[in-house]
Amino acid sequence: MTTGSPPHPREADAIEFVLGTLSTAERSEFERILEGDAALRQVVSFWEDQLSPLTARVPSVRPPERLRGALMAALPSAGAGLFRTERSGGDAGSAEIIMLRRSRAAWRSATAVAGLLAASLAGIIVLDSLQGIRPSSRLVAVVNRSGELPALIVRVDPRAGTVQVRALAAETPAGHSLELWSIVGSGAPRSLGILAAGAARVPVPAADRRRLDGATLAVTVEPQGGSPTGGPTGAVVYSGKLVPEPR
Amino acid sequence: MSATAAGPPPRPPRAEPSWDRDGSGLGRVLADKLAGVARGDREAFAGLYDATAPKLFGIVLRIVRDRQIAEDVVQDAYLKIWENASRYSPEAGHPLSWMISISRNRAIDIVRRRGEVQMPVTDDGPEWEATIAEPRDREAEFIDADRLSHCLEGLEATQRRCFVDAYLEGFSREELAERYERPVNTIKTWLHRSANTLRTCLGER
Repeated sequence: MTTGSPPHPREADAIEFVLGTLSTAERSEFERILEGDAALRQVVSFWEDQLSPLTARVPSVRPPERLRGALMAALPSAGAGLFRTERSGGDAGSAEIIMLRRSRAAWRSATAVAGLLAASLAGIIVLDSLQGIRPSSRLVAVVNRSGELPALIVRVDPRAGTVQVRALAAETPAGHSLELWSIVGSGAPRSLGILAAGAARVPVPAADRRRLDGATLAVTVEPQGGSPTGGPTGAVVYSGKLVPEPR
Repeated sequence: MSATAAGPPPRPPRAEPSWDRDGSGLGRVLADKLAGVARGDREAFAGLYDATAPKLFGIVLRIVRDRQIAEDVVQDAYLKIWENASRYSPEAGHPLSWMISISRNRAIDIVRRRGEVQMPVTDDGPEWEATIAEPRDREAEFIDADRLSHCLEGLEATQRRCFVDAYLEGFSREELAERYERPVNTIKTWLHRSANTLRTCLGER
C-alpha cells in the first residue's frame, strides 16, 4: 500500500478482521469475500504485517515439550494413506496423543455432497473406563481441514474416563450425521456414536474399551441417525490414531 | 519423528532490523526455513518451530487464556504453516508476521466462537497468567515497532489502548464496549478512526 492510495471500500472490515473484532458470522462472510478480492487480501496483509510488532508486548511462553513431539508426529508423511499411521518411538512415554489425520480427498468428496452447516455440534462420549491407556495424562487432538478452522477437538481424559469430542466447525451435510468409529488393527470399524448436537452420552462397546489405545478413529458422513448397516457407508472425513508421544 | 528432538531448548526469536535487509537477522533465517518447509523439509520445520513456538504460544495464550486450547491452536497453526509455507510471499512482510497472523487468526476464531456458542471453557482458569515468564520480551521486537509506536502516539490515549487491546487480547466489540464503558458503535468508530490515522502515518516514509 502506498501513501495517498484511496482506501479499499472494505478497509473498515479489513481492519476489524485483522484486529479480530468481527463476529463469527462477519468473519466468515469477510473470508468469503477475501477469496475473490486480491486487492482486499493486500489490505489485510498490510495490516497484519504492520500491526504484528505489537506482539513484542506479549511475553513469550515456552510451550510444553510434548507439543513439539505431537506436531512432528502429526506431519503428513509422504504417501500417507487414509488409515496409515505410524507408531513412532513406542517407548513408555508419559503422554499419549491422539492424532487424527485429515483425509483431504475424502473431505472434498464429502463437501461436494454437503449442504452447509451445522456448526455447533458437540458430542461427549463417556466411557466407564479406558483400560489399556496409561492414566498419566490427557490426550488431545485437533482435527482440521486445510486452510480452515480446526474442525474437531478430541480429548481423552483417562482419569475422568471421558472422551470428549468438541466440534468447532465440522460441517454436517444436510440430512446426514457424522459418526465416530474405532478401528482396531485390521478389524471391522465399530461405531462409537453419532456426533450429535448437544452433549450426547454414548456407550462404547465393552469389547472396544480396552483396545482404544492404538485404535484408529475415523469420522464418516452417514445418513441421518447413523449408518443403517452397522458399518461405515459414507466418506471418511477425518481419521487418526492414538499414539504415544515420541520422546 | 524427527531426529532433532534432543536439540537445544527453544529460544525466542531475535530482533531483526528490516528483515529483508542484509544482516544476521531472524527474518532471513526464518524465510530460509520456510523455503525449506515448502519443499517438505522436516528438519527445517523443526528449526522453525524451535525458533518461533514460544513467541506464538505466548501470543495465542494471551488471547485464548487456556493452556490446553492454546496448545491446540498452536499445533493447528503450525500444521497450517507446514501446508502453506509455499504460499508465503516475502513481499507481504516479515515471515514471523505471517506466522503470527496464522496463529492469531486461529485463536480469534476460537474465542469468537466460544463467546457466541457458549463453548465450555476448560479447567485452567486464570492459571495461564502465572505461566508468563518475563515481563517484556525485547528480543522479539521488530525494528518496525519504532515506526508503529510512533504512529500509535498519534492516537488519542483511550482509543489507542482500545485498539491495542483489541489486537493483543482478542476482545470482541462487545467486550471492548464493556471495558471502556462506551456503546458498541462508539467502539467501532474508535477502531476505524484509529486505523485511518495509522494508515496515513504508516504510509509515510
